[in-house]
Amino acid sequence: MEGRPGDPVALVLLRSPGGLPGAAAAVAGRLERHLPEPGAAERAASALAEAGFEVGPVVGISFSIAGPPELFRARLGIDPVPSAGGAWTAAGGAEVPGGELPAALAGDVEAVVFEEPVELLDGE
Amino acid sequence: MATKPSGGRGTGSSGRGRKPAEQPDGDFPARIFAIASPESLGGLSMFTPGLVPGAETVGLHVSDDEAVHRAVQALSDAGFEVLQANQLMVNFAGTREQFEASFGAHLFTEERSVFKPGGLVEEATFIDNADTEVPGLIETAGTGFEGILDGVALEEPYYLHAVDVLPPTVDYYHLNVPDDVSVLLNAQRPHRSGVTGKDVKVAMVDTGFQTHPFFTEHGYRVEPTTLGPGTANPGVDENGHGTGESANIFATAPDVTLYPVKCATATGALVNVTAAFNAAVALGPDIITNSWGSSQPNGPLSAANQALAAAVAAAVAGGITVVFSAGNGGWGFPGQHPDVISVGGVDRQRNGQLRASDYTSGFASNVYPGRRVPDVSGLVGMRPRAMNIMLPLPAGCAIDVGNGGGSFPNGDETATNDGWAAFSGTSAAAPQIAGVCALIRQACKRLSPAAIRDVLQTTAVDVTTGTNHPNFGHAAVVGPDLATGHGLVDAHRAVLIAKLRCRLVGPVLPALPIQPLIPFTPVQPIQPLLPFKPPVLPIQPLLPFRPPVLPVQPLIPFRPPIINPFLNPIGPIPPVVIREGGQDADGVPLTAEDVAEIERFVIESPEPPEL
Repeated sequence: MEGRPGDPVALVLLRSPGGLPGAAAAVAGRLERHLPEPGAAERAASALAEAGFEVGPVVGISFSIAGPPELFRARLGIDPVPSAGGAWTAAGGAEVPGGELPAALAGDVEAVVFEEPVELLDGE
Repeated sequence: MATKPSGGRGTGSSGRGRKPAEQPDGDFPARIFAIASPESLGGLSMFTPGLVPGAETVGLHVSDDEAVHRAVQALSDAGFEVLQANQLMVNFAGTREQFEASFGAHLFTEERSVFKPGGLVEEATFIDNADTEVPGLIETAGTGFEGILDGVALEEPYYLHAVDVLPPTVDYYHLNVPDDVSVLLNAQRPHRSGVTGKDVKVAMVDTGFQTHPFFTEHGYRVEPTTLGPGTANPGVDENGHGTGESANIFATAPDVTLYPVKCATATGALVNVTAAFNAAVALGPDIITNSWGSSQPNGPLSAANQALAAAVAAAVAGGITVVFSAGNGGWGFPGQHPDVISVGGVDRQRNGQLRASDYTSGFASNVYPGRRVPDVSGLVGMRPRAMNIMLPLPAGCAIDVGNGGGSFPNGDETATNDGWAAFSGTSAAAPQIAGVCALIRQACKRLSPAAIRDVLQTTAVDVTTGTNHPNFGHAAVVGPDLATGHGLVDAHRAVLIAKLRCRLVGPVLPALPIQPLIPFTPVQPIQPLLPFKPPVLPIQPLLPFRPPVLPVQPLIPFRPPIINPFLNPIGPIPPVVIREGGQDADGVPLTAEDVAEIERFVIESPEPPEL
C-alpha cells in the first residue's frame, strides 16, 4: 500500500543507547551519543517499507513514514485520527512508545509520534 | 405567453463570409455559453453596433417580466439550458448544433492571443459567428426568436487579471524587492563584484512555490518543488507565503538555485515539518531557510521537537547552514536552537533611521540556557501587521486575499487577486539573511555554519533604538541585545570579512562528512517520498566542529553607531596582499593582531574597499 496526499504521516524516533537527546543534547556538538546503534535505522526502515509504508530519509534520530490509516492500524496497532489543520494524531495520544509497537520494531524504535502543525512567521 | 421558435435559417445556408472558406471547423466545446437580450422596452438592442451601454442608457435595454419569461421559455423549448435570467439578459448554454439550428448561425472557432494568469501571452479558443460583423453576435431577425430576443452574444474566454511583473503602487512607505531589500542590506556591492550566490543551493521549507512573472522576468533559478510528506500539488502555492518569501532570498542572492520544499496543506497549515526538513536535508543544499516555528517558552521538548532539534543539529553538523526566523512575539522554536542562525527584525524608517521592530521576538532561551535570540536581524516592518515588503505571490492566494484591500496598516491597499501583497515578519528576515549566507558561502566555501554566523554577527550594523515585541519588551542598546541581536546584517562587510578569513583558514575539515548510518536499501514496494540520496543521510559519526585553524580574534564586535571622521580619521585602507596560509608576498605571516586590525578597517570604514 502506498501513501497518498492527506494520508497520516508520522515520525519514527530511533532508539539509542543514550536515549532521546532532550533539548540540551540535540545540538551539533553533542548529538553523537544519542544516535541509534548501527543497523537500527536500516532494520526499522526496511521493516516499515516492507509493511507498505512510504519511508522518508533518516536525519539525526528520526525518519518519516506515510500510509493510509488502515495500514497504521493493521501493521503498527496505531489508530490515526484527523487533527487540526489537516494534521493527524493517534487515538491514544500523539506519542506512541516503542513498547506498544510490534515486537519486530520495538527494539529499534523509541516511539512513533505525530507532529503538530506549526505557524508561519509572517505578518499576521 | 411562450412562443416556440419556428426554426432558424437553417444550417444549410451560408454565412456572410467572415469565416475564411478554408477555416477548419475546429473543436467546439460540449457547451457553448451565450447571453441573450430579451426584447427591450426601449426597443433598442444592447447589441446595436457602435452602442456602448452606460449607466444612463442601460434603461433602454431593460425588458419587462413577460418578455424575460417569453425568452426563457423559448430558449428552453429549443433545448437550451437556461442558467440565469434578469431584466437585462438571459445566460444560457447549448451545443453548436442547437445554436446553428435555432439561429441559423454559422459558428467557427478561432485561436486568438490573450493574457493568461502569470502574465503569459498565449492563445485561447474563441467561438464566433460568420454571419455578422460584430464579433460573437448572433442576430435573431428572420428566426423563430425574432420579437423575443434582440440578439445573442457568444461568451468569450476570460482570465483572472494578468499578474504584473511590477508591484502595484500604494500610498504608504514600504520596501520593494529586489532593490530596496538589496540596498538596505548592502548587498549590491558584492553583487557588482560578482558575489551573487552563484552555485549555491538554498532549500526553503515553506508553503511551496508557484511561478510568477516577477521570478521569470528576473531570471531567477527555481527547481521543481519537492513535496513534503502529506502534501500535494507541487506546482501550486495555495497560501502564497513560500512564493513571496522566495523573493527575499533572491533580493540578496540573485544567482542562488532555490529548492522549494512544500510542507503546507491546501488550507495553508504547515504539517509534518520535521519530515519536510529532513526532505530538504536530503536535497544536499548549502543552506536551508525556514520561516516557521512553534512557541516553546520552556522545556522539556516534546518527542517530536526533540526529533526536529536533532535533525537541525545533524544538518548543521553536516555543514549545512540552517537559518530560522526568531518569531513574531512567540518563543520561536527551532529559532532558538543553538546551531541555527536565528534572525530577528529591524525596521528601516522613511527617514533612513533603523530601529528594532516591535513585531519580532527576542529573548533569552529557557530551553537552551545561555542562548540569546536573535543572532542578527533582517528587514521587518512594525505592528500591527508588519505590512512592509511588497512581495510577489500567486494571484488570489490566501495572503493576497487576506492582506488585500483595506487601508494601511490594517490592509495592504492592493487588490485581492493582483499577485502582490505587503507582508514581512521574521518570515521575511530569515530568507533575506539566508541569501547573505549564500554570498558568504560563495565567497568562501570553507567557512563552517558557525563561522558564517560569526561573520554575520561581526559585521552587522548595530541598532540602538526601538524595542522588540511587547511580549518581551527588550530595548535595542549599544552592543548586542535581545532586541536585534548584533543588529542589521551588512552583506558587503560580511562578504569582505569572509574573503579575508578564507585566506587565513586552512581547508576546513569536512565539517561532518555526512555518511549514512545505514546504507539505505529500499525494499519493495517502497517508493520513497523523495528521490533517495544516501550520501546525505543519516549522519555518523558526529564530530565537534573544528574552529578555524587560525583563531581570528578578537573581532571588533560592533561599529560605533556614528563614526566621526574628524575625531577618528580613517584613512585609505593599505593594500593587503595575502597568500594562502596567511603569508604575504614576501613571506611575512599575518598575525592574529594583523587580522584583527584589517577587520577593524573593514568594519569601521564608511566605505569598505574591495579586497
